[in-house]
Amino acid sequence: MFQQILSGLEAGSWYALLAISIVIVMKATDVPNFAQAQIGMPGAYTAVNLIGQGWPAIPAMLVGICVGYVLGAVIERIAIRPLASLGHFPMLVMTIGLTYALVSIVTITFGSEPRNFPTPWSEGGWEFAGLYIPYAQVVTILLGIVLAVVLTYFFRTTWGVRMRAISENPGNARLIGINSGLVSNLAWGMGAAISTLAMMLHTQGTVLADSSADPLILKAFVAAVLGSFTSLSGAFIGGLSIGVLENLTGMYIGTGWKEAVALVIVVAYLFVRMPVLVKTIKPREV
Amino acid sequence: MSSHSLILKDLSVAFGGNKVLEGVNISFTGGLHGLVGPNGAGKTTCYNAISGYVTPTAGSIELDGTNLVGTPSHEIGSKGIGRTFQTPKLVAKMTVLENVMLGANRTFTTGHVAEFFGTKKARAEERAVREMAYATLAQFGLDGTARDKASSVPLAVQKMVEIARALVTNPVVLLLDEPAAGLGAEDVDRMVEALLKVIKERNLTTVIIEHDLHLVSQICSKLSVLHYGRIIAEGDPKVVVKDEVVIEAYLGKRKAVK
Amino acid sequence: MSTTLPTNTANVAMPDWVSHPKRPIQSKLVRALLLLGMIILPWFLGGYYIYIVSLVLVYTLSTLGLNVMIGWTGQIGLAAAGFFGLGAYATSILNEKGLPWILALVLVGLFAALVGFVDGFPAVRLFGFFLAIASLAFGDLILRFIIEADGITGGGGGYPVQLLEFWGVDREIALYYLCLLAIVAFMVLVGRVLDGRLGRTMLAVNTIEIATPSMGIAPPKYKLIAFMTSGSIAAIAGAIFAQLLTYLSPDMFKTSLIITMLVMLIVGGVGSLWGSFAGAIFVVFVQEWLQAFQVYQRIVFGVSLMLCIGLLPGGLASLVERLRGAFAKRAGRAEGAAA
Repeated sequence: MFQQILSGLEAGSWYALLAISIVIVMKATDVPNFAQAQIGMPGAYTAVNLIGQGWPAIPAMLVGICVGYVLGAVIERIAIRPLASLGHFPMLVMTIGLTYALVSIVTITFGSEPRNFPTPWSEGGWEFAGLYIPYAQVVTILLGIVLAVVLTYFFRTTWGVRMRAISENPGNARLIGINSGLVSNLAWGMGAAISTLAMMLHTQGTVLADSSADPLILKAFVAAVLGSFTSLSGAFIGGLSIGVLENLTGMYIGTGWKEAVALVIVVAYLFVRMPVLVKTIKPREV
Repeated sequence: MSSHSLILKDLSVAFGGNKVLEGVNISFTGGLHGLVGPNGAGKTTCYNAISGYVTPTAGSIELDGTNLVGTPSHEIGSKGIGRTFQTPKLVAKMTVLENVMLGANRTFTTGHVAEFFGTKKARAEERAVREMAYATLAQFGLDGTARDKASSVPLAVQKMVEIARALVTNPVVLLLDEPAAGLGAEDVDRMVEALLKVIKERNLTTVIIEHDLHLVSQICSKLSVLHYGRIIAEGDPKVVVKDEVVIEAYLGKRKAVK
Repeated sequence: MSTTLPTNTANVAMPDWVSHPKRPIQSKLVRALLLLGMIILPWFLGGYYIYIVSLVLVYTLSTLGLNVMIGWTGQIGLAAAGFFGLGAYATSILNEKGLPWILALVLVGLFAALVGFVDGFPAVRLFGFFLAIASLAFGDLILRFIIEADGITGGGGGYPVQLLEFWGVDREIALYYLCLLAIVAFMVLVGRVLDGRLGRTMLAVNTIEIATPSMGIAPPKYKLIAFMTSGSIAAIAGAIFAQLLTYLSPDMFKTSLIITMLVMLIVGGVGSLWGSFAGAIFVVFVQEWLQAFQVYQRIVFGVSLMLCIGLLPGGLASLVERLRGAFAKRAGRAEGAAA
């Protein structure tokens, strides 16, 4: 069972990282980005390409992350900022369209054949009291935690505070001179970079294919919901929990139901939290 | 038809530590009753408490003797408390006439199932409501705009359309929230004329929140002044507007310059 | 009746268009011609194209349901793909077990309304993307049930649909008329209700929810109605879809289906019934034209979604409106010049 929990934490780390990037983008720009997993694909593919050309893994991955950042920033500037005032549903649909556009570009540029993604730690693991712990799992989980900690500190820095200010009260933030455009850009870049990392961790040691992002996005959104779309730690822990619960369900109930876990969680959670999420009518609106 | 009464007893509303209304006592018993006071005094909060959007922390709101506190807001609407809003809430996509017809929800006797099957009674009712809505618009001189999209008519018209919609609900008490705000003199006259006529015809207990003290003192039979959540004056409008306490509330203490 | 209604209509001159609202004669003519054209279509088109048109009609039906939910009532409920699959599987399975198809259809339609109620119940208090995620998950959950019940549904392996017999008439053609009948029935019945009181109330709940209680309107009631009707409509569309495709597999109802439905809805025009038709034509056209290249299909769908949201929020339907408006202006100007 410990094995399952560990695998669960590994998968959970992917969901958690994606969820964090969803929350960051949401907080800074008020857009639920359905393409958040897909946006990490070009960067991941770049890394794989470089490795294929002989680059060592870590520099290749770093380049991939940079590519991801740039992509996020560009998309924010071109597609998101002009439409900033539209509201959640139009933006959600917009990002759904973006998902399709991105995956098509990836397929056209890199082909639809799965690519190998070897990393120095993808083979082998520790043997330990009858258990086998793959290096890859440990790397994933550790990176996830490290990133979560780094981000917590980030949000205490100047830029981090600015981002929080914008998300809490965009009007006031602008009034005191915070450049919301730059903050949005930063948020989308960061989000895309984190997604790229998540996608790389997801496909490392196995294969990267154009369908790699698909199973992840809904679960990442569920994890974000568990954090009420505003709490990074909630999203992070939510993601890990989903991963663990999935694997335990797969082990004890059946592999088919594994996929349903995230779905059941979100439906149950929203049912329970219903009173708190009720849209309270602000007196000023009337 | 005798008029209905809406009585606020010791009404208090607080948001967190912020006391917006404290121990407010007002009796709306008929005719046009003005509710005035400087900005932030709590007037719209009064309305929100009556409509059921906010729950008072103390006190009661009695419609003909029945306490409304705790009743869901749509039931309060069903009981006949009609109202308008500071900024008109109309469905932009629909025509003016359709917007007014929205108010008839309370008066329809056939249900949606009948509407689906297109029964004779349902169709007759739809037609009757259509005509009635048109007639109401005509009372405000707006019959010409009936087919215009609600988003395309000027603010003055929108406000009157909202009043027409509220009238179509056949209310027992009508709450108007700054109906004249932002309107030119001609439009105000037109609105007031139609309003006073309807109030007289139906013996409708009407409350009006307004900033224009001059207007309010002319058309209201009674005035209540709210300041920082408390009633500071009440009575005959002509007397109340000259009350020192009221003037001080609006203009601030005049520092004697010696 | 005027004695029970608040305002007395006796003294008011009632123009004709108020008492007897009629659709303009051009509109009636266009509709009649279109219907006629659709009826005689099988004489001109071969079997495969009839199938394509039938597919368009089925897709239009499911988009109608989505339109009621999103376009009219403003609820972002994205479980439609799940209901579509539910209708497809459930009707076919019941039919296989011996129930006459029409009866199965009705039962499944009612059951879908019940499921829609369950889907909508928490949704009543949720808003925005919380609702979107929850309903998306709900739709997926329905699909999950279908996959897991593989004893009855064949699970991932697929399910061959028991084909309906049409007393010797060519199957494709008979199915086509079934689709046509279903669409016309819904356009007329649902269209009438959407033009009337229910539609107005839904639009009010959509745009001015805050003001609705003061008119005695309870938003939760109408949100639930939206969920139930759209679920039902999607299920019925799914049932017909099953007959068209003759073979079902859970893959057909995955997330990509709801995305396709959204394309139909948005590109066609949210809040417009004819828009749903236009959107369905667009999607089926792209799918056929780019049949071999799924990638290009996706690009077209993705980009058209983004373009519509950004540049043409009302979809194709709004284009038609603008054209009509331009014509009306020209006609007005011509009249004015002539006068």
